[in-house]
Amino acid sequence: MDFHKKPLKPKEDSDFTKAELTTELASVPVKQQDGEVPALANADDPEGNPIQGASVDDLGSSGEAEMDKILEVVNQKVKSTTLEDKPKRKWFAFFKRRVRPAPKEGPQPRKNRPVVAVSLAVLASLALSAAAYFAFWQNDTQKQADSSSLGSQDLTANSSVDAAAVERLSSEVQAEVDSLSDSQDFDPASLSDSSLGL
Amino acid sequence: MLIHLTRRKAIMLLLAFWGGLLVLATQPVLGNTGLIEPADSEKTTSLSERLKKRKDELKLSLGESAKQRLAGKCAASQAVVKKLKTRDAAVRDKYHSAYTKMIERLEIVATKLAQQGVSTSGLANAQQLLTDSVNQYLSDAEAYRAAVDDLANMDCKGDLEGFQATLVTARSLREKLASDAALIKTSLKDVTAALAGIKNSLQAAEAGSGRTY
Repeated sequence: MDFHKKPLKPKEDSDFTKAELTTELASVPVKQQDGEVPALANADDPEGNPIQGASVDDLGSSGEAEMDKILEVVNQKVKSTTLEDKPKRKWFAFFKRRVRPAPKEGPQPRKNRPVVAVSLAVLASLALSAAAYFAFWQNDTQKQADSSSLGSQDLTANSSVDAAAVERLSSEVQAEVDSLSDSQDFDPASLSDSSLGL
Repeated sequence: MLIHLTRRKAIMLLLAFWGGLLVLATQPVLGNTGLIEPADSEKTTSLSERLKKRKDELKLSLGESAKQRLAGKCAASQAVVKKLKTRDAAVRDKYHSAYTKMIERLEIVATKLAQQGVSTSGLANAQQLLTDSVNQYLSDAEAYRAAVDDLANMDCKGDLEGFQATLVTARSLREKLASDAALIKTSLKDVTAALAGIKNSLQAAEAGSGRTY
């Protein structure tokens, strides 16, 4: 938009009079802030038309210059604001805080809340990791219990093995295996025809 | 590529990752003992497959009189087999526990001795033979368990040859278990002999250094 005031082209038509211009200005409907559009005032009614009787000559040359100045200032401000808002580089837009649109009034459609899903995933992960750690810990404890149930104080993690420990191990293992009576436990007669009644 | 995943897929992947980690953590930790864990043949094969295999291996041919005898008595014999199965389960647990602990203790001590700088090559050889013997026992014990289980549960009247073949297999495996146990005892003697040699060397070292461990 160019706010510079362009010089009016002088109207060659001599029928365009001051009286007509005055009437046109007075007939332009102005929207009020309250939203009500006032009814068009009668251009000839001096009470309904506040600028009735005003003449373009009233502005004078100083008024026109002042208007030009105001327009110039406004134009500069608009330009400078546009330049400030636009990021200079594209990547800078990534860091720029996004302005959320103002929430609309009234009932809005429900959206899936990503926060809930992420929270559930994090909770599930924590629960699973806790379960994994517990299972690992239990397994390790069971293994330690098995090791300790081997029945020898010489088999702890940091102890060294001496001659007496080797002697003990040898005798204990031998005794344990000797206690197994395989001839009785695997007696072939248990599956004989006579035992089965065949 | 991951950037294009939706949030739902990302959550599923995260859960799958932690689930996998959980499964891995709950797996039994196998020690470095060299012992095997024989597969359960009842889970990998069907009863008919196992019966056919036994019949093919033994190639038994039953006469008419033998068939009649078996048909009349096999059902009653299965009740006896079921009782034997219960006894065998207790025996199997006892042997499995004893052999496994023995191998584990020997492994721990052998590792410690090696860390102390003691020569364990003789012990290692004896240990390997003992471990092989125990593995043979474990494998036969599993095969025997499956055979006795089939013997107790199969339709003996419907497949008399299969019943007889399974009975013969179970008898053979039971005898094998007895010989496996005897072999383990023999192998253990070699291990104890190796341990005696190590004990002597340790005693000599302790006497030389005047130090006790």
